[in-house]
Amino acid sequence: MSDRVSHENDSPLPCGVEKPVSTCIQQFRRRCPKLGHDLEFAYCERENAGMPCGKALVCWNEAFDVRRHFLSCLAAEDFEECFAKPVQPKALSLLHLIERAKRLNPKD
Amino acid sequence: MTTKIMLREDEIPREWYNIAADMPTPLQPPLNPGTRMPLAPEDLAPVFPMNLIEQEMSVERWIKIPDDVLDKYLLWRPTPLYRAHNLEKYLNCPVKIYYKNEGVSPAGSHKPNTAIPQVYYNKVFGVKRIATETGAGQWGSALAFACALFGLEAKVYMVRVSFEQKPYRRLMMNTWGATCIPSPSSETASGRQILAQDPNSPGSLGIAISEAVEDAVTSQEQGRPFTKYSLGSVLNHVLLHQTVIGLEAQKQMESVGDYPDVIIGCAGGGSNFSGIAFPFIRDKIAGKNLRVVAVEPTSCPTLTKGRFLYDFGDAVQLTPLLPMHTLGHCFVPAPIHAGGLRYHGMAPLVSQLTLDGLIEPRSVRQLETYEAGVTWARTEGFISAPETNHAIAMVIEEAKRAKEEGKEKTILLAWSGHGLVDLASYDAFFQGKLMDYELPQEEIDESLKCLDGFPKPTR
Repeated sequence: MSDRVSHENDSPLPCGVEKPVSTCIQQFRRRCPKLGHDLEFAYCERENAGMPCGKALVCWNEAFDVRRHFLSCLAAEDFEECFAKPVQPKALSLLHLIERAKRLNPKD
Repeated sequence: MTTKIMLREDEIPREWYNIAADMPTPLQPPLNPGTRMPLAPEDLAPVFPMNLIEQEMSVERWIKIPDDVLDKYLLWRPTPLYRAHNLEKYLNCPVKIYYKNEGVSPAGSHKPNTAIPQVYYNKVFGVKRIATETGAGQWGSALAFACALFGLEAKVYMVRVSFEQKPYRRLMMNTWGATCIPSPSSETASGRQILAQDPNSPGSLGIAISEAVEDAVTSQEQGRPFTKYSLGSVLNHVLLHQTVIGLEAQKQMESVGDYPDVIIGCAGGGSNFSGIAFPFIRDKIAGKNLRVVAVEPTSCPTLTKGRFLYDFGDAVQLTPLLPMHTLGHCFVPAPIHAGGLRYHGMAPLVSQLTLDGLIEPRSVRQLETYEAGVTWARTEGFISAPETNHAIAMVIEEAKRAKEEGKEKTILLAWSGHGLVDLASYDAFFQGKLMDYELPQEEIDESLKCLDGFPKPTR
């Protein structure tokens, strides 16, 4: 097994930076649009309570066949739960969090 | 040759612009799933003060900026509008490039434009303490700064992985007197629940939001000072406050007798982009000819192509009708990209204006954004926040296109913040650690073997 991933064209970028290399897809790094800093793919794989982040397919699609990766390691229903579930409007998600907070902290 | 176009302090806008008054397709409120009725102000009252909820639901075109807010804005506003002469010369394209510098705020970004009024309205409502969540800390630091100015307590739940990797904005928050703790924490029931399952949880924005909301909702029962929650993007009132950027820019452009053909901003949650764009979109709705480009801070190369595919399943936006609902295992990337704006937590106002054809969504690759940021730093001097680099990359693309087409263009860029506390990202770029290349499949197959033996995630 190769210990690194290389690229079709290893020439540097125009500003002299070498194109990226990595040893394993879990160590691939990119900027997380949610958190605002770069993170390893290993985080994206488990961001959602141990399941993949719902944005992982979009974020990583251009780097590798991330869909195939998740199809190979997730059950069908988990894949759908992670990636095909519609996102709520923010106001509604806040409403759910308010209700959840009340449930977790009963007044009595 | 003027480089900085300034406004006097007495020229600062006195009102925010509320685009909800002029939407070609008015936003419909989401339905409360319990009552099936539109969300009511009291539904959000456990987390927001009523004066901000009123702004959230307002369709008044102009909303007065309170004097106390103006006083605080004057610490750094009006912000300068720059002419990017050096970049223009470097690009050698037939373009004039202006940029609105929001990096001059004490927190270094556009975020205080809404943090200040949010804290003000909370204070007026009697709130003593504000809880929020943050990732890298841009919002948390802005809120901490605003709370310091108005004398409120700030509690920031910072995603643990960010807390550990991004110390500088955490220290900024501490300096402004905020309490910043890693999330998940043992201070809330939702945090304790996560920690019980996984004591080493790196956290997520979702968990941090849960904790901050719970902190606010339970503050009185728990004996804490009267606490509300605060959000730094997406919601209507947040976008409203940011319009001070575009309103100033309109005056500044007018003062030099110019007007943009293209406005470009990065659009994560939509607040910085909306800030510069909404006042100009008002002009566009009224017939002005300009393009307004939202650049997504993700890698979605087919976003524009797939734009038509995303739509709402019903008039109240509760059930978005997206191919993703039914594709399941037939899922392909393009529809995901098509849903990009919605699925990236984009502001509903921005999503709707995009559907109405008033905003043009575009995307750029990650390495291209850093490349653009380095070009910017080496010409204009300022080191940009990584998300700002997305917009800069699009400016460069637009300039080159203008040259190809032989057309003159005036471009206005939202320069949303500096990157002086994001230099680790630049370091990762310089070291070649950031990915965005399409890799040969055989090398990926080889790489995937490194996962052999890893447990497969299950729910």
